[in-house]
Amino acid sequence: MITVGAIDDDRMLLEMLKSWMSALPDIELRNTAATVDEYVRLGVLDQIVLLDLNLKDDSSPAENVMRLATLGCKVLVVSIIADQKYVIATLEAGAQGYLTKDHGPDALVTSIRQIAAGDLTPSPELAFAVTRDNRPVRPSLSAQERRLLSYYARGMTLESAARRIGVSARTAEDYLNRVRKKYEEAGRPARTKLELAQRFREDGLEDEPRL
Amino acid sequence: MELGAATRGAERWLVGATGLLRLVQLLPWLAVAAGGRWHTYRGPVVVAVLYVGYACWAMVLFWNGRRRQGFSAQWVVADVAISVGCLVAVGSLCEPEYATTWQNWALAPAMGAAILSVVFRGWPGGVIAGITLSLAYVIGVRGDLTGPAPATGTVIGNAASLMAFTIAAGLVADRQRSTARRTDRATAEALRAQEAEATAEARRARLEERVRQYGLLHDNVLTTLTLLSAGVGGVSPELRERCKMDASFLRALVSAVNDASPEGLNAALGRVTYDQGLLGLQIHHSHDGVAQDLPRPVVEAIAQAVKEALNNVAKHARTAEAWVTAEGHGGSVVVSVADHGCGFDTATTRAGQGITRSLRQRMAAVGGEVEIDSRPGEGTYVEIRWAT
Repeated sequence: MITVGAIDDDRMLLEMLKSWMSALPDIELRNTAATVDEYVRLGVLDQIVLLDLNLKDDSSPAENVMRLATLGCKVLVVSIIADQKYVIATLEAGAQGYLTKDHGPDALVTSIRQIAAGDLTPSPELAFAVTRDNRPVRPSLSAQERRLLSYYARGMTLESAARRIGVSARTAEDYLNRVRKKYEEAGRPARTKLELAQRFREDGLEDEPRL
Repeated sequence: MELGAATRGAERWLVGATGLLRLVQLLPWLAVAAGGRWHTYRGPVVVAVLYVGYACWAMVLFWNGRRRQGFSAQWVVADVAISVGCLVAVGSLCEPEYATTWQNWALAPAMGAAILSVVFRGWPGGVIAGITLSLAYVIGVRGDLTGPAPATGTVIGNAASLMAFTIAAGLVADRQRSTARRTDRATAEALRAQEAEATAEARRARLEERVRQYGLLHDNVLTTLTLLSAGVGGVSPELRERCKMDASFLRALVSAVNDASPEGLNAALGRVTYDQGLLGLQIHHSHDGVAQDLPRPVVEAIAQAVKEALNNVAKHARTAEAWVTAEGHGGSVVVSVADHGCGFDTATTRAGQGITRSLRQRMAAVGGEVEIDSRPGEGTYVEIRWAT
């Protein structure tokens, strides 16, 4: 059984997710919340958390992902539209993947199962955001990785994209994983800082420094 | 052509200046007349009548010039002709040795006539008028060129100064006018810049308003449509499909807002993907960094090519999903249409050859390129490239 949490400020969407997932034998939506604060207060731990990209409390998407990852959840970011900048930020913050809501329940369920099995294929939207990442400081990708990602982002199947750049499907998968790892590593310093800050908070160090 | 304010001012100034000059040129003889030295003329009455007649003509001439802000060729020719007549007549009516003195009142206003020609009818007319008037002066005073003490030096000096004044006046007029034109051009430019600024300001305001409205669309309508299309509220499958499509159209539109142009490629592709959505295809439309000031024919050619490629997906690919992406790289753009359908052999199937030729022709017309990559069982990938 895969335990799932969902954080979205849209009550209706949460209800809808619940009714979908109640029919699935291997997935259970246990906890829902409108904000990350609210979810953290629940004091629970789900294997996978579905996180809305832009929450109404104006919290930073990247920080939300980091906080959940620090708890030990795997995070799948979902949103109405793909906002390039935030998508990249959540990837660096350690999110497992990213989906736009127009994909429908099947794609969501597939992604959840893949994350649970530890082999999520990135969505083309995510790949698109990565290929268009032009920040001055960004993980450097090899020319082949970039080409593969770019064809995949344009909607080619991984197999076709692999054939087009002249590598095997297996190698193409390695490329995708390498790219994800590069982004994860690029976000590590920020995550470490946040983890430290959180530990301090838990120890009560932040407000009353010990003498 | 519309004259600028400074040019009109310069013309007015030139009319006034030449008028004042003519007045000053006519006045000195009144002192001669008041002196009562009528014995210096062979026909004093005729000389006086000619003077009064000339003064009246000058008044009519400048009154008309003032009214019309200039002098037509007819008026200038008439002025020169009357001045020539007076030069010959008055010069001839002077007693010997007096034709080269102030007794000959016709010389000064004749200079005025030459100046009027050069100022208002340009260099060729002005020079011809100057030469004609100089000759008429010489003919009038011919009596003084003979006899015991010929005044040849004075005559040549007067004729030469008539020409010199004419040329000087022409130069002054040219300078006045070019300064005025420069001023007018600068003024017009400043005005245009002001208007452009106002237009840009209005555009910014419209854009801000659109961003605000799109924000509202995103928060309300798009979210609701997405929920309905996902099946919330138990809507019928047909309505769900419809909501899904409208949502995807709105999604493309809302995310296109940062590119600022409703006429740009992103909006055009948004419309194409919406229309295709009506035919039952779910299209994932992404774009980034596409210049929104591509030439209109290029936008249309790309949109049509994408439409044709999507039609092909709907007809032959046996899939309900397609991806349309548009990426800008500086002045160039890459637009792709991809599906995970059944694919085809681009070389051997007739449909494959047909679409390839048609898309290539379409894009070649605007200087673009098309590449189609497909294999049976592997989906189809169409890449459209265009660069400035």
